[in-house]
Amino acid sequence: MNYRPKHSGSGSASNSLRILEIVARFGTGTTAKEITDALRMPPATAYRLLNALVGDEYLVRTSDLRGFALGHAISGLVTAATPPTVPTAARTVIEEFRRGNRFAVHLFMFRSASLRIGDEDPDYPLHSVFELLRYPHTSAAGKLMLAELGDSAFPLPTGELLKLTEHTITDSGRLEEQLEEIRLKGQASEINEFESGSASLALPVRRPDGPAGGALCLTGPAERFATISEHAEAARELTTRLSPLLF
Amino acid sequence: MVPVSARGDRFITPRSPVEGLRRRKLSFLPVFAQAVANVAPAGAMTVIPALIFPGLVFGSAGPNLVLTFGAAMAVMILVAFCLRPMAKRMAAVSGLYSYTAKGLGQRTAITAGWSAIFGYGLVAMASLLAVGTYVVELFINLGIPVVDAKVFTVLVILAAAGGACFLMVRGIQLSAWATLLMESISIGILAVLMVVYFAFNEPNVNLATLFAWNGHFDSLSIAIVVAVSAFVGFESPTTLGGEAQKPFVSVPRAITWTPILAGVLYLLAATAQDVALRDAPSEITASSTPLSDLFSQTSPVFAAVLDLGIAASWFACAIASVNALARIFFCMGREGVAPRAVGRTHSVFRTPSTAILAVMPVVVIVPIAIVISGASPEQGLANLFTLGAYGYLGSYVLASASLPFFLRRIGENTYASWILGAATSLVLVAVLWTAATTSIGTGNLQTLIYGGVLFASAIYAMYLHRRLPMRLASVGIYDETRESDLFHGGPIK
Repeated sequence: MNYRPKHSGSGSASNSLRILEIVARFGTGTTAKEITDALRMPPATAYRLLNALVGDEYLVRTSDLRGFALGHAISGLVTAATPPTVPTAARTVIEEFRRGNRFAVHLFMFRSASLRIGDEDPDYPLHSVFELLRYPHTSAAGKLMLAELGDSAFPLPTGELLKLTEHTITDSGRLEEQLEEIRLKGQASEINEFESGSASLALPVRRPDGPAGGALCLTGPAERFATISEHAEAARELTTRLSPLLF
Repeated sequence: MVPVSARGDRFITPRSPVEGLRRRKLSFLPVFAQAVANVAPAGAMTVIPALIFPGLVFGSAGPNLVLTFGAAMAVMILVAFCLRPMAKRMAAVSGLYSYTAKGLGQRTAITAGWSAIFGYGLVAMASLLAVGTYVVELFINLGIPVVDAKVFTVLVILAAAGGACFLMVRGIQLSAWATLLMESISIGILAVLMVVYFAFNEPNVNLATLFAWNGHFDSLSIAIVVAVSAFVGFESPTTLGGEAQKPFVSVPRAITWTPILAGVLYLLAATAQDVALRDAPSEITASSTPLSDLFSQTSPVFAAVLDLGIAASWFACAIASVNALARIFFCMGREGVAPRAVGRTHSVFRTPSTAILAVMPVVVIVPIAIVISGASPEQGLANLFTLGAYGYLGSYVLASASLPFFLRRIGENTYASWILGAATSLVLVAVLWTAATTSIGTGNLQTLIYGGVLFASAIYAMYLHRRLPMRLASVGIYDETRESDLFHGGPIK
């Protein structure tokens, strides 16, 4: 064990993160002794932090109570922070689909109840990326994700829904209705809701066990939404080809 | 099992040994309610001090109440500090029994488990008896004629037991929320009535006498024993480790704050009662329902409301006690040191229903027998409560002594834990010793009965050790980490 940590921060929060890192590195079954040795931390401090981490289920104890392992509570942080990897095979089939179409084709991935960019259309780069990822109720891909989350552990956005354009849905009742419709139709759309003058259609890319893990999004000018919709079937076919490549 | 170390003892189970209970659903409030209800502060405030030690409340020879309850509170907080580190590390379903198994070993755990079951059982019996007594009192205060008090009391006890059974089998959610409601009502009623009573009556409050110290250490130690019995039950959330949402946070929090809350309530109530009962006629101070009688002098409606509050408190206490008892019994069934059948859970309600249904008849029969035998309810209550307190204290001694050994076993012991464990168990032994010698001195059989239970448990543990070592080895099950609790690395929705 030649790990020499840099003792930069000394606060509880930094120490807790260091403990998590050690458990992640050493693996399931790491003991308190191994942690205090590796971090050169006073045992009493380590026990206190370990118990706090166990209390919130960032760490769990193994059956003999000696060892520690990463708990499910850490999934939110790790998966949200890790950028999704999209295999070349998937990028290639999306690229084929883009050819000859005069609208943007983006791939989004769902991570810990937030959108992540999987594959951006190089010819039509995304605008307002922050808003796109932060306010899912304003975009087609975001609404598709919210619809999929409906019965999961992640709560739907609460509080006031931000108004990006005059068409943005800000009434939670109406949003709920639309999500129900999205669940029925298996696709989501948005016209002028995210950005004036633009429209999108989003189709789910499903995991083998059913729920959507991402969305294929077709975006173009609002007045051409009907033309975009004509490609829905072809796009849906593409999502079924993408599923095994992505998940 | 997924062994992750070469020694093979460090693993994550795919299935928990306590599978079948509704896991990780109970939020903090109901967990806290379990503790508070089991202590039954509203009930204990009005019954225990006046009942077990009338001299303590109003006699001038008694030691002062503030000191007594303060000392008892300190002892219980010590116990809470011993249990806390274990509650933070293990999601126990059988409470002190499983802590002892991990600390002092399985054979000692059998004694701790029996002791705890004895404590919960007797307090549950006493609670039902108290429900009966106070409901009858309520009817009398309301002016409703009760034809045959005995028969009526028995009927009330049966109804209360039936209701409790229904709530407990239906689910821990329901029963815990019910106890929370009951406790809130009873504490609320009591607090309001106390304030109103004093506002109207303005007795001659002489605060100096409250803090007077007459210098008798003997009577003080006995008084502390009695006061300690008013706190027992605060540890019962340690049986909800499997069902609590965040067991490593909510259980330690509940067992730390309950003795403090109860202590503050007792200090207030003891002060108030001392003042109120000081000038009361002797037939009131000698009654089993002294406060209620006192209030009925002022207004029968007051008294009736008070009776309702106290009865609610004891009803909640009965539920909380049996809930805790049933979970210990359930674990014993799973381990094979009690009939396997009690280890079954209800397939729909996810409660240890067989264990609940097995213990309820015993818990009901004793108070009914006391009522039918014609023994005075106050004598019955006093005996059941003190006997129950022995059971609790016995399990506290063993669990507190387990702390350093528990921590050493998992490689997390500290010097402080040795000192804390040793000091607490010594103090508790001193308390038990005082209680026992006093009790023997007065020719009471209580010590003998509890001693018999301890002896029987030791014999049984020895039998298990000789004949069924495999079953003894499985003692100490708890809600282990499952694979679903782990971080799996894969992306999630």
